[in-house]
Amino acid sequence: MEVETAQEDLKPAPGQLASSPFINKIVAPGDIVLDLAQLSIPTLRLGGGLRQDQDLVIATKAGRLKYIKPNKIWVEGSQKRYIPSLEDVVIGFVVDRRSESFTVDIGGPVHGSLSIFLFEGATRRNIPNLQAGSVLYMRVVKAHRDMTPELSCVDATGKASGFGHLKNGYVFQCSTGLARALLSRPTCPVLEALGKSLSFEIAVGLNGRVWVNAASVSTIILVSNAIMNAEFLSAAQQQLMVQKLLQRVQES
Amino acid sequence: MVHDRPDGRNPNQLRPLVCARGLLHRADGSARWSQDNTIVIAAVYGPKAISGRRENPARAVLEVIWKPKMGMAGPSEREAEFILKRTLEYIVLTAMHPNTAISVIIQVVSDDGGALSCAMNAACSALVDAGIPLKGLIAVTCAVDKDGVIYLDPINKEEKEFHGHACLVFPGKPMSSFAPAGLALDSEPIERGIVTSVTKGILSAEDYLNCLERSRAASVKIAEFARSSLEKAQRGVELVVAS
Repeated sequence: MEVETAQEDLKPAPGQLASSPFINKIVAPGDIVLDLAQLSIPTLRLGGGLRQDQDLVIATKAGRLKYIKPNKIWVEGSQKRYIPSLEDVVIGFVVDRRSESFTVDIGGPVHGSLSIFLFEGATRRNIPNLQAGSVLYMRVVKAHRDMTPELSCVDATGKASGFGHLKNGYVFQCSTGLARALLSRPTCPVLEALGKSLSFEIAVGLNGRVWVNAASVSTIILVSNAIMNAEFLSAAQQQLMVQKLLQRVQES
Repeated sequence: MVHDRPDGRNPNQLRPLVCARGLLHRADGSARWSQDNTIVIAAVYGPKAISGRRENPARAVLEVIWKPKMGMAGPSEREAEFILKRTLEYIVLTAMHPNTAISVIIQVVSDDGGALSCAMNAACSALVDAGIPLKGLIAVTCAVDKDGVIYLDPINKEEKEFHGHACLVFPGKPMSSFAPAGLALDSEPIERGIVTSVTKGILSAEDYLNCLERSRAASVKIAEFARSSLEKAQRGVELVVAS
């Protein structure tokens, strides 16, 4: 699942996105990645990490410049702090319950708000019973820098689709880059290797949080450690690491 | 008359640079910048919630805390915090995160001259590591002037004997393969500008301009080093994402 946020539309003149020499290269803040005067695309969608300064598109974050034909371009980097953006799936903890909404901590600068009606089958009489500390799997329905982010436990059609209260299990933090890798297709090597020998449930939030649940505590610990260790390893190294962990558990 | 430097460098030579990123587990971004024996760690927390009268509904509030190696923070630390805050406010796009605070904490690990410029380089790297949106990067050098000769990147001993001392912050040159007419102020390209200039002691106008030119040339090397360190760190982070 490719993560991108459309922020602006604009109309420049001749050229093609793929011709920019920075595509798929690492950019630093301040780098001028595109000159709109030389592009031939009618509308261009700028994703995260880019801003427009008159005729120039400039990077604001460090990361790799990615694009999707014909007109979406963004900078992909990894951070620890999450900045809420539309349509992201996130894991949050309930902090407080107000009359019409829950206050949820999603790891961003401010807490998000989750309306009590945005659950499957929710009515005024049937309010979900969530205490402070409950773990929720939600999607972001409103995210703007000037407003409190709003969340929902239903998809666009009103069905739960996996969103909602996550019972039991264990939640840990990781970076946003690792979270994206865990959610991408093809399946991340560490998850594939773990899935071959163990059975467990996992939910990944793009805000850098992962929820793991399994029948036994030792499986949960093993899966969590494997994922946390996988951050800076290549595919082959991840598989090796998982093998070693499994061996160690079987021996003891 | 050119004096021999205590550590054998020539007047235009910088000390070896080392930059490590992401070393602190709890901070959102961190960097350790060393120029030989001057080592500074910068930690960035944010954007995070802020309340009370400090909050600004239009932009993020930047706060800097400077922790000296020994003793309590005093007026000279407050001055360094103020200079750093003004410099970083130039590069951070604070309008992108209104009603939040971004904290930068500087810890001096060891100081053998040039701590302020080392701290500014470290703070810039830490901000990049934290993913805070930036307008560009900065490169900072300092120089002392003795009898009309400019010595770059002075050590403690040289700083004590200075007549004039200047710490200069230049905007990093942005990479671009186009030759844009944009990004210039009054038809002068952005990399010819200056962000901050902190001077102490006595400098004649000619010596100051001399300092500026030498420091600008040195800052290009620092900017290149910072960039290659940034790219290396990014590649390390990406091993998982690429697979």
